[in-house]
Amino acid sequence: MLSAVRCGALRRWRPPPHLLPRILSSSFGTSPARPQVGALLELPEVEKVLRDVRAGDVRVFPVGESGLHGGACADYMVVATGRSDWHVRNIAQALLYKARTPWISFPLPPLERSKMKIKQKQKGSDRILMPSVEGQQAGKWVVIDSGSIIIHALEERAREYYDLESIWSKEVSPNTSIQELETSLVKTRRRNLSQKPMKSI
Amino acid sequence: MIQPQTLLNVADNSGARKLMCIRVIGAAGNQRYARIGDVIIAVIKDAVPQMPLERSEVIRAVIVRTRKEFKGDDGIIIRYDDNAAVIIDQKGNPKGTRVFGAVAEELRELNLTKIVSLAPEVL
Repeated sequence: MLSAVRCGALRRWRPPPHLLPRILSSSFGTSPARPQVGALLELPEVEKVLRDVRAGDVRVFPVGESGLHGGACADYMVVATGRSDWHVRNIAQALLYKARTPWISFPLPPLERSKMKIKQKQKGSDRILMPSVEGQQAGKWVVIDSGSIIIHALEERAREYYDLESIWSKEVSPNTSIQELETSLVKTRRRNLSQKPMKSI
Repeated sequence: MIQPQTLLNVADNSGARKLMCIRVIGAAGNQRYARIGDVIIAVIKDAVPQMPLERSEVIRAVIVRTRKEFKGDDGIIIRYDDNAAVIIDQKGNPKGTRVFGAVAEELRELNLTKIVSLAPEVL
């Protein structure tokens, strides 16, 4: 219960994560209000890229405000399977390429595009705002952390081993509110107390 | 403040129970103690029977909880009740499939998103 209270206190302190787009350490110093040119990935974009690179069994888990981690982590978790290490690495590469070149998705007139490029060159900090990648060398499990969306690309065996679906699908439904969590914890404690003397006898 | 000879709990289901730090990675210069998010080399002092990991095996681990208070960028200070680590392999993949207990949000910024996404609670 203490941890729940502490968690609640923390959440009260912080602004809600959907209002404040989470800035990663690599991009520290850029203001979120500024329009982000090469910014973080959007969910439809991610889905399209994953379809294009033929990632198998793509599943999206909304782990937002009421979900897992109390919304502290991210809004969406995307899981995709690759057939081999090489394929997994290429899924990650494709997503990064997408994040780097956003104008591919919506073709702009050349003038507009050149403006955009210049703008990017001038504002160096915007160019740094990239999703962080983890596990690129190993290739079994590559995580792309794009702020509100975290994309996991796993090899088939690794996906079976870690079984990420069961974490998120199980825990999305409970802990809708802190009060509910507290009452449930109190209940379990009472039950434990009643069982203890039984065991000792 | 984790240094060689420190005993740590294991915060995952890899099968080990107790670790002893024998080396802090990157501690060549001024840095002497490991903090949250640092990688250490450790020896398994106690393990669950019939699991792949055994006693006296040398492994790598990431520290996820420390009794020494940890201050994040936002000024929040977190202090846990125990020193705990998660066992990883050479490439940074966690050995276990679940992480127990709360972990700090800062791990995500230290490129340990895998551990954060396996954890049940993020502070």
